[in-house]
Order: sequence, then structure tokens, then C-alpha cells
Amino acid sequence: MHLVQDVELGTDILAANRKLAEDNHKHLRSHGVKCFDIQGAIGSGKTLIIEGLIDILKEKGVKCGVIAGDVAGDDDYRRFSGHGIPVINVNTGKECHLDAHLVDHALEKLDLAGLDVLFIENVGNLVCPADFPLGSDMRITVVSVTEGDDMVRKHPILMGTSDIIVVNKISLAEAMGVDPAVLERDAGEINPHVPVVFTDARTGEGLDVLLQKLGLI
Amino acid sequence: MHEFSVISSIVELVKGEMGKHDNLNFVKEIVLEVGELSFLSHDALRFGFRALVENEPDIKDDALTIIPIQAKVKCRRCDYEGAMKAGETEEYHIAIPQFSCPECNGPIDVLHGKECVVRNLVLDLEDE
Repeated sequence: MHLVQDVELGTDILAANRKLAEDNHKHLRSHGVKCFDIQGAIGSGKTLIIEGLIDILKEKGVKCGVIAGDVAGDDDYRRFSGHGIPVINVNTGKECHLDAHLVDHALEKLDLAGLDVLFIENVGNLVCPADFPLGSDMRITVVSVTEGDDMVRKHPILMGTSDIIVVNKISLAEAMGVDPAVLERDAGEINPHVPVVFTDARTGEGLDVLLQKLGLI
Repeated sequence: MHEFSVISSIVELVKGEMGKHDNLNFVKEIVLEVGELSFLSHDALRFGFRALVENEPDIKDDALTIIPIQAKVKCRRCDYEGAMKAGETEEYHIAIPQFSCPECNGPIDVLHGKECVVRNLVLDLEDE
């Protein structure tokens, strides 16, 4: 005879990552390190923005470190290392995002006592990172005008849950026939409380405003 | 894109539970609650599930039931607690959640909607 039994579980599959992210956050806090997670599409300018911020902060005596996340290779790692700061390279292999576990291991390799600010550059992806908090203080999403003026409204949940939206490569807007105000308007419609910062990482334009929004100056 | 790793964790969890029942015939149903603000595609979860249990005779390949969980938010300004407002314009084919308070337009915190919870399993057991 068959018997049907209902087993209550209530197990959240994503909770393990959230718990690890909270632990990472506490760990960073205990060392007084402010942490920022930069996510955005491939080629949006995440690396160059972080490089620009590092240079400004270095001049002010702020000690920065970076966790460089990529599917493969060490291109970004080498770029960041060129700024004379501690960098940890994390290759996800086949995964489309960093997770709290990978960040936890990267933190083990960093001397947190020697850092004031840690940037985490996520894998270029505008979908998956959203389900995997890493333990940062703020999540910054980078889009660029070269991706078109519909990038923000195409990714409403990711934009809505970001702490700051950066619109990069602003000097190319006219050449691309893109109105940056459309990106800002769309962001405001999804989340009127998320600040939008216009930058041009190549020239450094807007990076001072971004640093203000990050609470670093 | 990360549905396969999520569904792999779910199948491992189910297998662990199966191991606790010597008289198990098969797993009849796995009830999964998926928040509307998670980036988990229901179709991709089902596809991954069927692929993973193909060689698992004790788990029915149609056992996965997905229940969508509506987002719930709390306003930092007026303490509103409830559903998000959804902006439906001609531009969108689906209702897009608005990340501001439906009552006062203030900033909100998300209370529910990002989860992926294995709520319960229905097991077919041999009555001993």
C-alpha cells in the first residue's frame, strides 16, 4: 500500500549566499574597510572607472584594493596591479557572476588592515549578479551610452535594486545619437531614489561626483 | 543563466531528504517558491530539473511545482507595508515593479520577492 507524506522544508537555496555576504560585510566592517561592488555589461567601462577612482583616492592617501572578477584571464588584474595596489584575481570559469563564497576566499588573501576601500568588479553581466549579494556597502551599476539609450529600462529590477547608476562614456553620446537624459529619466521612473551619475572614465569627467555619492570625499 | 546551479542545489537537498526514508517509492512533488524579484527563469529551472533527474528513477520528472511569490516592500518614510506598485506602459510587455512607495513615493526596502525556497516535498512511501 502507498502512503503519501508531505515533508515541510522551507529551505531558501539563495540564503546560504546571503548569509556568507553578511559575514563578508561584518568582516570588512571589523577592519574599517568600505566596500563597493561594481556591476555592469561587458565593455561598459567598469574597469576604467575603478582605475580612475583609485588614482584620485591614492592622491588623497586613501588605501585601495580590488577584487577583479572575470570569467577567464587576468587582463583587469594586470591593469589594476599597474596602479601599485593589492589586487586579487577571481576567475569564475563557467559562472556568470561572483558570489559571496568566491569573495570570502579573495578576502582571505587580502591584508584588510592595510586597506580603507575595496572595490569588487563583478563579471560583465546585467542579470545574474542581482541574485548574489557579495557583502559590499553599495552596489553600483554601470551602463554606457554606447549600449544605447534603452539599457536602463531593459533591466528594471537590476537598476531598481542598485544604490547608484553610472552612465559612462558620456562624451560619445552625441556621436552615438544617444540622449543620456533618456537613461536618467528611465532610472527615475523605475526608482526615483537611485542617484544617476554621468561619467566619462577616459577623461575623468564625473568621477569626483561619483566619489561624493560613494561617501568617499 | 545560474538556474542550473540553483536547481542542482535543490536536487541535492531533495536527495538528502530521500535518504531519510527507507520506504520511499518516489518523490511525487517538489514545491518551490520563487520570488518575482529573483532572476530565476521558471522555464530554465524546469528544463534544468528535467535534465538533472533524467537518471534519477526515484524523482518524477514532472515533480517540480513552481509557485511565484509576489514582492513585498516596506516604506522607509510612511511605513507602508505591502505589494509594490507596477508600472504598466505601452513600452513594456510585462508589469515592471516600481522601486518606490505606492502610497507616498518614498524609498522602500524589499521584504520579500528575492527568495527561492523549497517549501515542501510530497513523497510516495511504501506503507510498512
